[in-house]
Amino acid sequence: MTAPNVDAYLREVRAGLRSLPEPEVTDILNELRGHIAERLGGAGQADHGAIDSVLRKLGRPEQIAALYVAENLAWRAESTRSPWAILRGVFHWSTLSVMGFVVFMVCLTGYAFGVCFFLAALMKPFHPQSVGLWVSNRPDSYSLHVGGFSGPAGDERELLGWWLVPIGCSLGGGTILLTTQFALWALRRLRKPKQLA
Amino acid sequence: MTIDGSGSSSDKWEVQLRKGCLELAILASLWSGRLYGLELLRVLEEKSELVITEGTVYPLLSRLRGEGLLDAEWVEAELGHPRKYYRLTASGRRRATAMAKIWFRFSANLDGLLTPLIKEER
Repeated sequence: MTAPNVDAYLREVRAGLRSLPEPEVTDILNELRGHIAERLGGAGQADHGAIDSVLRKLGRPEQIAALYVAENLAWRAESTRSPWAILRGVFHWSTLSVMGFVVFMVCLTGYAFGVCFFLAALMKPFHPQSVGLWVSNRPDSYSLHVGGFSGPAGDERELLGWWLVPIGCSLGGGTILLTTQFALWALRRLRKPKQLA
Repeated sequence: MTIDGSGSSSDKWEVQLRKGCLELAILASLWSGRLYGLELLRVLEEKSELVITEGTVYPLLSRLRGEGLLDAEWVEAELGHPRKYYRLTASGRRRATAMAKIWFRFSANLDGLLTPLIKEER
Protein backbone atom coordinates (compact mmCIF):
# COMPACT_ATOMS: atom_id res chain seq x y z
CA MET A 1 0.00 0.00 0.00
CA THR A 2 1.34 3.40 -0.89
CA ALA A 3 0.41 6.88 0.20
CA PRO A 4 -1.75 8.95 -2.15
CA ASN A 5 0.95 11.54 -2.83
CA VAL A 6 3.41 8.80 -3.76
CA ASP A 7 0.86 7.47 -6.23
CA ALA A 8 0.29 10.94 -7.65
CA TYR A 9 4.06 11.41 -7.98
CA LEU A 10 4.48 8.13 -9.86
CA ARG A 11 1.48 8.95 -12.08
CA GLU A 12 3.21 12.16 -13.08
CA VAL A 13 6.41 10.31 -13.90
CA ARG A 14 4.37 7.86 -15.99
CA ALA A 15 2.71 10.71 -17.85
CA GLY A 16 6.14 12.05 -18.83
CA LEU A 17 7.26 8.63 -20.07
CA ARG A 18 4.50 8.22 -22.70
CA SER A 19 6.97 7.92 -25.55
CA LEU A 20 8.80 4.91 -24.08
CA PRO A 21 7.68 1.27 -24.51
CA GLU A 22 5.35 0.05 -21.76
CA PRO A 23 7.65 -2.67 -20.31
CA GLU A 24 10.33 -0.06 -19.83
CA VAL A 25 7.90 2.32 -18.14
CA THR A 26 6.76 -0.41 -15.73
CA ASP A 27 10.38 -1.20 -14.98
CA ILE A 28 11.21 2.43 -14.25
CA LEU A 29 8.17 2.92 -12.01
CA ASN A 30 8.92 -0.27 -10.07
CA GLU A 31 12.44 0.93 -9.45
CA LEU A 32 11.29 4.35 -8.25
CA ARG A 33 8.54 2.80 -6.11
CA GLY A 34 11.14 0.55 -4.47
CA HIS A 35 13.39 3.54 -3.83
CA ILE A 36 10.60 5.52 -2.17
CA ALA A 37 9.40 2.59 -0.07
CA GLU A 38 12.86 1.80 1.20
CA ARG A 39 13.66 5.44 1.93
CA LEU A 40 10.47 5.56 3.99
CA GLY A 41 11.61 2.56 5.98
CA GLY A 42 9.73 -0.43 4.63
CA ALA A 43 6.16 -1.22 5.59
CA GLY A 44 5.65 1.34 8.35
CA GLN A 45 3.13 4.14 7.94
CA ALA A 46 5.10 7.24 7.08
CA ASP A 47 3.84 10.71 7.85
CA HIS A 48 3.35 13.39 5.23
CA GLY A 49 6.50 15.28 6.13
CA ALA A 50 8.68 12.22 5.63
CA ILE A 51 7.05 11.38 2.32
CA ASP A 52 7.42 14.92 1.06
CA SER A 53 11.06 15.04 2.00
CA VAL A 54 11.79 11.75 0.22
CA LEU A 55 9.98 12.91 -2.92
CA ARG A 56 11.67 16.30 -2.85
CA LYS A 57 15.07 14.67 -2.64
CA LEU A 58 14.16 12.47 -5.59
CA GLY A 59 13.37 15.51 -7.74
CA ARG A 60 10.42 16.82 -9.72
CA PRO A 61 8.57 13.97 -11.45
CA GLU A 62 8.35 15.62 -14.86
CA GLN A 63 12.09 16.32 -14.77
CA ILE A 64 12.95 12.73 -13.94
CA ALA A 65 10.72 11.56 -16.78
CA ALA A 66 12.26 14.08 -19.18
CA LEU A 67 15.73 12.90 -18.20
CA TYR A 68 14.77 9.25 -18.80
CA VAL A 69 13.37 10.12 -22.20
CA ALA A 70 16.42 12.18 -23.11
CA GLU A 71 18.91 9.48 -22.06
CA ASN A 72 16.87 6.81 -23.74
CA LEU A 73 16.38 8.58 -27.05
CA ALA A 74 19.98 9.72 -27.20
CA TRP A 75 21.50 6.28 -26.91
CA ARG A 76 18.82 4.64 -29.01
CA ALA A 77 19.34 7.09 -31.88
CA GLU A 78 23.08 6.70 -31.51
CA SER A 79 23.05 2.93 -31.50
CA THR A 80 20.82 2.55 -34.57
CA ARG A 81 21.83 5.68 -36.49
CA SER A 82 18.64 5.24 -38.49
CA PRO A 83 17.08 8.50 -39.67
CA TRP A 84 13.70 7.21 -38.48
CA ALA A 85 14.86 6.66 -34.88
CA ILE A 86 16.61 10.01 -34.96
CA LEU A 87 13.57 11.87 -36.27
CA ARG A 88 11.41 10.23 -33.61
CA GLY A 89 13.82 11.25 -30.91
CA VAL A 90 14.11 14.79 -32.17
CA PHE A 91 10.35 15.02 -32.63
CA HIS A 92 9.79 14.12 -29.00
CA TRP A 93 12.35 16.70 -27.99
CA SER A 94 10.55 19.29 -30.12
CA THR A 95 7.43 18.86 -27.98
CA LEU A 96 9.49 19.74 -24.90
CA SER A 97 11.38 22.87 -25.88
CA VAL A 98 11.82 25.56 -28.52
CA MET A 99 15.38 24.39 -29.13
CA GLY A 100 14.05 20.91 -29.81
CA PHE A 101 11.57 22.32 -32.29
CA VAL A 102 14.29 24.18 -34.16
CA VAL A 103 16.46 21.06 -34.33
CA PHE A 104 13.45 19.04 -35.51
CA MET A 105 12.72 21.51 -38.33
CA VAL A 106 16.36 21.50 -39.40
CA CYS A 107 16.43 17.69 -39.46
CA LEU A 108 13.14 17.46 -41.31
CA THR A 109 14.37 19.93 -43.95
CA GLY A 110 17.71 18.15 -44.23
CA TYR A 111 16.17 14.73 -44.75
CA ALA A 112 13.58 16.16 -47.17
CA PHE A 113 16.36 17.69 -49.30
CA GLY A 114 18.29 14.45 -49.18
CA VAL A 115 15.30 12.46 -50.37
CA CYS A 116 14.60 15.01 -53.16
CA PHE A 117 18.16 14.76 -54.47
CA PHE A 118 17.84 10.98 -54.56
CA LEU A 119 14.42 11.18 -56.23
CA ALA A 120 15.74 13.51 -58.93
CA ALA A 121 18.61 11.11 -59.65
CA LEU A 122 16.20 8.18 -59.68
CA MET A 123 13.69 9.84 -62.02
CA LYS A 124 16.23 11.06 -64.56
CA PRO A 125 16.52 7.75 -66.48
CA PHE A 126 12.72 7.46 -66.72
CA HIS A 127 11.85 11.06 -67.58
CA PRO A 128 15.03 12.49 -69.13
CA GLN A 129 13.10 15.33 -70.80
CA SER A 130 11.40 16.69 -67.71
CA VAL A 131 13.83 16.01 -64.84
CA GLY A 132 16.97 18.10 -64.64
CA LEU A 133 18.60 21.24 -63.40
CA TRP A 134 17.33 24.00 -65.65
CA VAL A 135 18.81 27.40 -66.17
CA SER A 136 17.19 30.26 -68.03
CA ASN A 137 18.85 31.41 -71.27
CA ARG A 138 17.71 35.03 -71.03
CA PRO A 139 20.46 37.14 -69.45
CA ASP A 140 18.01 39.41 -67.58
CA SER A 141 16.12 36.65 -65.74
CA TYR A 142 18.51 34.10 -64.40
CA SER A 143 16.55 31.24 -62.87
CA LEU A 144 17.67 27.88 -61.67
CA HIS A 145 15.32 25.06 -60.77
CA VAL A 146 15.16 21.31 -60.48
CA GLY A 147 12.42 20.30 -62.88
CA GLY A 148 9.28 18.44 -62.06
CA PHE A 149 7.05 16.64 -64.52
CA SER A 150 5.93 19.68 -66.46
CA GLY A 151 9.32 19.97 -68.10
CA PRO A 152 11.31 23.08 -68.90
CA ALA A 153 9.93 26.34 -70.19
CA GLY A 154 10.87 27.22 -73.80
CA ASP A 155 13.77 29.49 -72.96
CA GLU A 156 15.54 27.16 -70.53
CA ARG A 157 18.35 24.70 -71.08
CA GLU A 158 19.50 21.84 -68.95
CA LEU A 159 22.73 22.23 -67.03
CA LEU A 160 23.75 18.78 -65.83
CA GLY A 161 22.40 16.19 -68.25
CA TRP A 162 23.09 12.64 -67.12
CA TRP A 163 25.48 13.95 -64.51
CA LEU A 164 22.33 14.55 -62.47
CA VAL A 165 22.32 10.85 -61.51
CA PRO A 166 25.73 10.61 -59.74
CA ILE A 167 25.53 14.20 -58.47
CA GLY A 168 21.99 13.71 -57.13
CA CYS A 169 22.99 10.47 -55.42
CA SER A 170 26.07 11.92 -53.75
CA LEU A 171 24.30 15.13 -52.73
CA GLY A 172 21.38 13.08 -51.36
CA GLY A 173 23.66 10.77 -49.41
CA GLY A 174 25.76 13.68 -48.19
CA THR A 175 22.76 15.68 -47.02
CA ILE A 176 21.26 12.73 -45.15
CA LEU A 177 24.63 11.93 -43.55
CA LEU A 178 25.17 15.54 -42.50
CA THR A 179 21.68 15.82 -41.08
CA THR A 180 22.24 12.61 -39.09
CA GLN A 181 25.52 13.92 -37.72
CA PHE A 182 23.87 17.18 -36.74
CA ALA A 183 20.96 15.40 -35.01
CA LEU A 184 23.30 13.11 -33.07
CA TRP A 185 25.37 16.07 -31.98
CA ALA A 186 22.22 17.89 -30.83
CA LEU A 187 20.85 14.82 -29.06
CA ARG A 188 24.13 14.32 -27.26
CA ARG A 189 23.86 17.85 -25.92
CA LEU A 190 20.26 17.18 -24.94
CA ARG A 191 21.40 14.30 -22.79
CA LYS A 192 22.50 16.80 -20.17
CA PRO A 193 19.48 19.02 -19.54
CA LYS A 194 20.46 22.11 -17.63
CA GLN A 195 17.58 22.20 -15.19
CA LEU A 196 18.82 19.24 -13.16
CA ALA A 197 21.98 19.25 -11.12
CA MET B 1 27.53 37.98 -14.70
CA THR B 2 29.43 37.62 -11.45
CA ILE B 3 32.63 35.69 -11.15
CA ASP B 4 33.18 35.90 -7.40
CA GLY B 5 32.98 32.94 -5.04
CA SER B 6 29.24 33.08 -4.52
CA GLY B 7 28.28 34.09 -8.06
CA SER B 8 26.15 32.22 -10.55
CA SER B 9 29.10 31.48 -12.85
CA SER B 10 30.90 29.36 -10.33
CA ASP B 11 27.61 27.68 -9.40
CA LYS B 12 27.05 26.76 -13.01
CA TRP B 13 30.59 25.53 -13.33
CA GLU B 14 30.12 23.33 -10.27
CA VAL B 15 26.90 21.89 -11.70
CA GLN B 16 28.67 20.99 -14.95
CA LEU B 17 31.56 19.49 -13.04
CA ARG B 18 29.26 17.36 -10.91
CA LYS B 19 27.41 16.08 -13.94
CA GLY B 20 30.62 15.23 -15.72
CA CYS B 21 31.93 13.28 -12.75
CA LEU B 22 28.74 11.44 -11.84
CA GLU B 23 29.07 8.87 -14.60
CA LEU B 24 32.60 8.01 -13.55
CA ALA B 25 31.57 7.88 -9.88
CA ILE B 26 28.75 5.44 -10.69
CA LEU B 27 31.04 3.15 -12.67
CA ALA B 28 33.63 3.33 -9.88
CA SER B 29 31.06 2.52 -7.19
CA LEU B 30 30.13 -0.65 -9.04
CA TRP B 31 33.77 -1.71 -9.44
CA SER B 32 33.75 -4.18 -6.54
CA GLY B 33 30.34 -5.71 -7.10
CA ARG B 34 26.68 -5.31 -7.86
CA LEU B 35 24.53 -2.67 -6.18
CA TYR B 36 20.90 -1.64 -6.45
CA GLY B 37 19.88 1.99 -6.96
CA LEU B 38 19.50 3.10 -3.37
CA GLU B 39 22.64 1.26 -2.27
CA LEU B 40 24.54 3.01 -5.01
CA LEU B 41 23.10 6.35 -3.92
CA ARG B 42 24.27 5.69 -0.37
CA VAL B 43 27.78 4.92 -1.57
CA LEU B 44 27.78 8.11 -3.64
CA GLU B 45 26.45 10.11 -0.70
CA GLU B 46 29.09 8.78 1.60
CA LYS B 47 32.09 8.99 -0.71
CA SER B 48 31.31 11.90 -2.97
CA GLU B 49 29.29 15.06 -2.90
CA LEU B 50 28.06 14.52 -6.40
CA VAL B 51 24.37 13.75 -5.98
CA ILE B 52 21.97 16.54 -5.13
CA THR B 53 18.82 15.33 -6.85
CA GLU B 54 18.61 11.58 -6.36
CA GLY B 55 16.31 11.12 -9.34
CA THR B 56 19.11 12.00 -11.78
CA VAL B 57 20.98 8.80 -11.01
CA TYR B 58 18.26 6.42 -12.23
CA PRO B 59 17.99 7.74 -15.80
CA LEU B 60 21.78 7.76 -15.98
CA LEU B 61 21.87 4.10 -14.90
CA SER B 62 19.33 3.35 -17.59
CA ARG B 63 21.51 4.92 -20.27
CA LEU B 64 24.70 3.23 -19.05
CA ARG B 65 22.82 -0.05 -19.35
CA GLY B 66 21.61 0.90 -22.81
CA GLU B 67 25.20 1.56 -23.83
CA GLY B 68 26.18 -1.87 -22.60
CA LEU B 69 28.39 -0.63 -19.77
CA LEU B 70 26.10 -2.09 -17.10
CA ASP B 71 23.94 -5.18 -16.73
CA ALA B 72 20.80 -5.09 -14.63
CA GLU B 73 18.66 -7.78 -13.03
CA TRP B 74 15.68 -7.79 -10.72
CA VAL B 75 16.16 -9.69 -7.48
CA GLU B 76 13.36 -10.44 -5.02
CA ALA B 77 14.08 -8.96 -1.61
CA GLU B 78 13.21 -10.86 1.55
CA LEU B 79 11.15 -7.92 2.72
CA GLY B 80 9.42 -5.33 0.63
CA HIS B 81 10.05 -4.46 -3.02
CA PRO B 82 12.20 -6.38 -5.47
CA ARG B 83 15.45 -4.61 -6.24
CA LYS B 84 17.09 -3.86 -9.52
CA TYR B 85 20.77 -4.69 -9.23
CA TYR B 86 23.38 -3.20 -11.55
CA ARG B 87 26.81 -4.61 -12.31
CA LEU B 88 29.65 -3.58 -14.60
CA THR B 89 30.02 -5.43 -17.89
CA ALA B 90 33.44 -6.10 -19.40
CA SER B 91 33.12 -2.99 -21.54
CA GLY B 92 31.96 -1.02 -18.49
CA ARG B 93 35.13 -2.04 -16.67
CA ARG B 94 37.26 -0.95 -19.60
CA ARG B 95 35.44 2.40 -19.79
CA ALA B 96 35.83 2.96 -16.03
CA THR B 97 39.56 2.25 -16.19
CA ALA B 98 40.04 4.54 -19.16
CA MET B 99 38.10 7.34 -17.45
CA ALA B 100 40.05 6.91 -14.21
CA LYS B 101 43.35 7.25 -16.09
CA ILE B 102 42.18 10.45 -17.73
CA TRP B 103 40.98 11.75 -14.39
CA PHE B 104 44.31 11.16 -12.65
CA ARG B 105 46.26 12.75 -15.47
CA PHE B 106 44.03 15.81 -15.42
CA SER B 107 43.92 16.25 -11.69
CA ALA B 108 47.66 15.77 -11.25
CA ASN B 109 48.30 18.53 -13.77
CA LEU B 110 45.69 20.84 -12.30
CA ASP B 111 46.85 20.31 -8.72
CA GLY B 112 50.20 21.80 -9.62
CA LEU B 113 48.51 24.82 -11.14
CA LEU B 114 46.02 25.34 -8.35
CA THR B 115 48.10 24.90 -5.20
CA PRO B 116 49.56 28.45 -5.31
CA LEU B 117 46.02 29.89 -5.42
CA ILE B 118 45.03 28.33 -2.13
CA LYS B 119 48.39 29.12 -0.47
CA GLU B 120 48.12 32.79 -1.33
CA GLU B 121 44.59 33.03 0.03
CA ARG B 122 45.74 31.87 3.45
